[in-house]
Amino acid sequence: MFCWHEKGSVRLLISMMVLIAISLGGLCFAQDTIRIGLVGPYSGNFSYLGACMEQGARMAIDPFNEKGGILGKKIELVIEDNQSNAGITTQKMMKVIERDKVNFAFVGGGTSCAISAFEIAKREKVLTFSCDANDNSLNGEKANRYTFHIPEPNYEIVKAIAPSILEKYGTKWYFHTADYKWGWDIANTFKAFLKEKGGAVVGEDLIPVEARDFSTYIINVKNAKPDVLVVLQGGMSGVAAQTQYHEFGLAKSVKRTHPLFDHDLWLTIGYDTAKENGIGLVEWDINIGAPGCKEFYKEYKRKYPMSFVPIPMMDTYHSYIAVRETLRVMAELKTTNTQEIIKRLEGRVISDSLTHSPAMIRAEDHQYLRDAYIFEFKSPNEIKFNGDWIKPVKRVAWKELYRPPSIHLNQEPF
Amino acid sequence: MAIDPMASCPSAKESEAWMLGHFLNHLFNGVVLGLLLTVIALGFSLVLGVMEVVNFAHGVLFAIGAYFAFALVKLVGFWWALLISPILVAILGMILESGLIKRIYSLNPLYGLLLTFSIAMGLEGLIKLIWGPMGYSIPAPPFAAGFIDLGFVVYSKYRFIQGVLALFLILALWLFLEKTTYGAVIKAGTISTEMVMALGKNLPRLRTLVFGMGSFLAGIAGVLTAPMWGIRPGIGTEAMMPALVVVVVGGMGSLYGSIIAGQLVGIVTGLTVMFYPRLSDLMMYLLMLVVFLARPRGLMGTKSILEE
Repeated sequence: MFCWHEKGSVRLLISMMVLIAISLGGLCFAQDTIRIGLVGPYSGNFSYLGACMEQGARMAIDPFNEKGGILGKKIELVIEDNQSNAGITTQKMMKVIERDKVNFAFVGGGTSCAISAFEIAKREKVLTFSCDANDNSLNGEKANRYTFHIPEPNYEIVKAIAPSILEKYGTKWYFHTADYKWGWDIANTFKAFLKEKGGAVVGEDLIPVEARDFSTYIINVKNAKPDVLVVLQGGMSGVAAQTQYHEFGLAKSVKRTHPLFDHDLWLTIGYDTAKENGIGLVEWDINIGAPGCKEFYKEYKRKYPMSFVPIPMMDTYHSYIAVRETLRVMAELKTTNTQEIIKRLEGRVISDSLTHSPAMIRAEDHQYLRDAYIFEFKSPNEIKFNGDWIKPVKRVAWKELYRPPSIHLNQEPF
Repeated sequence: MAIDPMASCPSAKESEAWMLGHFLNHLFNGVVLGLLLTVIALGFSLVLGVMEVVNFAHGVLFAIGAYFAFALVKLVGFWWALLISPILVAILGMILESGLIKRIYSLNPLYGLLLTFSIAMGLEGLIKLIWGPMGYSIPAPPFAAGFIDLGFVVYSKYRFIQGVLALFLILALWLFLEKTTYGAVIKAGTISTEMVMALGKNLPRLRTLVFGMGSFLAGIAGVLTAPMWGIRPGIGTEAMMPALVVVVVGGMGSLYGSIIAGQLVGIVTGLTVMFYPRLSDLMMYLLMLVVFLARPRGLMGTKSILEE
């Protein structure tokens, strides 16, 4: 019971008043800033992605803050670790929305995290970007008026690279598929393409996400004798898979390709293992030769000279684009009103997209449209710096790549 | 372009040989995995037995072993990294024990749990600070790369060497515990630390040594598995959980129990992958449940008074 004459009670009261003052002070501060929520993986199977996304976001934010912010307000990044987990993504999204009052958010950690975030975005009416998942549903049935999808969907990835795989390797394919939504989705898309072209699936192993022992799957594929092994693995499972393919000397008997070959994967496994994979698709890389790439790389090295990743990754690029364009729209419209911003983003053409063709945010399904690049690994004497490992061999312009939208978000009410 | 569906059909004999090879492959995997889990579990079990501390930092010491090896491999090669890295982890372990853990021996066991858990979190944060959140890999040493092809079975050379090294470690530990005076003292310590003290042995030094040994085993297991699993900050947890299962199944503080349970867990996991990979992780927990229900003290744990 509170008693004025007791020292402890007075101390308690003062402490409570100080705490309340700090909380209120925090709220006041929040109203003077534009806050962006980053809900991404800083632990779990994709633990490095959060940091890469943060790098891209800060590269977009800093130029605005150096000029005094937007509407007289500085821009602040609020970071939450979703541990690559969908349930935790939901909690963290609610946290950044309710507690931190973010103006918009961007999310990483895989398809399930993106889907969870999209549901929250719709319910809470908060502009949200997916920056690292590729599932077809993210610009389809799971999308809503408040969500935007930056990475390439699985359908377009397959459409870009599958013809090259067919031409280079042959028609008998074996799949090592990650046993979760992204894996099933992209595998089914590949199989549909292969069937259409008269090829055959000679086998498939559904591999649990946290699998660390691939020896049995390697034996399976050796016995099947396919023309090519198509590796559909991500994160540390992908590292374990590639490491063990190399350990078993798989390349001597079976050709393989890792279609969606993220930077983090080949930087982790090393050049000797990575180059066994022949061709791959990269959504973006500094070596694609597009205008602005070299400057972006220089800025990245200036800002992050000691980064654990020697070159900006795809997720760095995706976050950079998402955050930069949203801030630009805010500055153009001189508003932080979510619905106004969304309307301006719909159909927006981005000429400085660091790709050959100007990119676009399609109004109907909120999908970011940009060119796709097929690459192969450079020979050792072509490599000029750490991370300079790939060279583009084919560019697929986005106008030839993307199928028509299946939804019309721009016609839906807010 | 049609594919002849009959073109690659094997004969009955080829099918049998393939099945046998497939089975043996999974069995070998299970045995090797079991040996690695035993090495990890033995370190944990030693600390638990002598010091009665549930060392949650054991997993992160495993991870640190892998990271030290990653840093050393470029300088001194794989085999020297295999030797030096666990020694460094052992030294780290002894510093942790003499600096922090020894302060909670007289307290409620929960304090040990909390303290080692905090140490684990702190060290994992330190790993991320030094090496970043991205993963790394260490290639198998050149002479151990590739596979052994016996015709009906193909097996990785490196895994074979892993298994041999793990077996060597287990044997070395057994010899130390069974055939040396200090080993006898450690074994006595798992029964009664008070008696060991009463006989004039230096208990604090014993505890530090045991913690160092446990850390060494965690570290060397980390180095051995790094070329297979890759390296990332959270890899300690992946090693810790199966090790805990091995200790529970084998019996808390029982070294022989850990050896038998390690093989059981490894083989069950390895063979499950052959039939239904999605269940492979679950199977070891089911095994633990079955053993726990049938024999709560584990396969070779000490019978409690309540069981009389």
